[in-house]
Amino acid sequence: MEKEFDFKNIGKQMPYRTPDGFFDRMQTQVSARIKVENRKKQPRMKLVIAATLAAAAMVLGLVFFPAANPEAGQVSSNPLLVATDIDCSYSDAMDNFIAEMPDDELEEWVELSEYDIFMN
Amino acid sequence: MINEDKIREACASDKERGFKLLMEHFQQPIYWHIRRLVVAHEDAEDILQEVFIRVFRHLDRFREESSLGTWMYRIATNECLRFLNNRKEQAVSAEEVQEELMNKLMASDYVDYDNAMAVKFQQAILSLPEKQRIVFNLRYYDELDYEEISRITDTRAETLKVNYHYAKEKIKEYMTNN
Repeated sequence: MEKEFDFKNIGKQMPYRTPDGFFDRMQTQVSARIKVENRKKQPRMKLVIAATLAAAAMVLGLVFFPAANPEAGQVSSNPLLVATDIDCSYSDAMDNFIAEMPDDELEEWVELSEYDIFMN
Repeated sequence: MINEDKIREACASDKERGFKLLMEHFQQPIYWHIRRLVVAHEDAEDILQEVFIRVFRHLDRFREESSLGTWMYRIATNECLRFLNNRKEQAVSAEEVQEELMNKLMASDYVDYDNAMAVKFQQAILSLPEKQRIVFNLRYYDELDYEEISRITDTRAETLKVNYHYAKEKIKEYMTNN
């Protein structure tokens, strides 16, 4: 009869190895990647925040100060039409802005939005 | 040896310094956990880097409901599963993925083939279904308790005990008959 395998004979031995200095290099590589990400992130985040604020200001301006708008007269005569126009231009601009945004930036923006009390 | 509280304190006062301590403390156990699941050193290296980047990005949002270690193992396990599932999405069956892992084990620059018993033991582990493999590795090598493994894998502790028992039996059988 074959002898039953005993886990004690092998313990935690593993045949796996790593290249020399792998763990030291890993730390350096991760730190370098984080530095690059942080450097990229700062101007991008500023741009995203500025663009969001500008878009919000534009919408607020059109809603609360219609007299400043040269087409204000039309607002009272056909508010629905003008409101639709405003929405279209705003959403077109946002669509273009989002379409041009690289995937990683968009991902960050979505992450940021999840924790933004004004968006939730 | 530095404990988790020290790492948390360091992260709170200086994120980058805290993160460096975290890497020093966790990189080896997390690397070996990943390596046992994906086998090839090159894949494990990529996944480990990805895990640390994710951890750094979300460090501020880490909730102290679980330990840092459990959180790290959870992220690492999910990254490994994502990696393995990507292969399955490429119309490769679970059995073929298992076969690929076996092949990687048998053709690597970073495996010590002189230790035949240890190689065979890894083959036995790789012959297990994915879930049993994860449970076995976390319990046997990392010595995590069932409650911790439960938080990592979102599986009930009782189920994990049964999985671990089955895994040990299958490994015994493999080691005896092959």
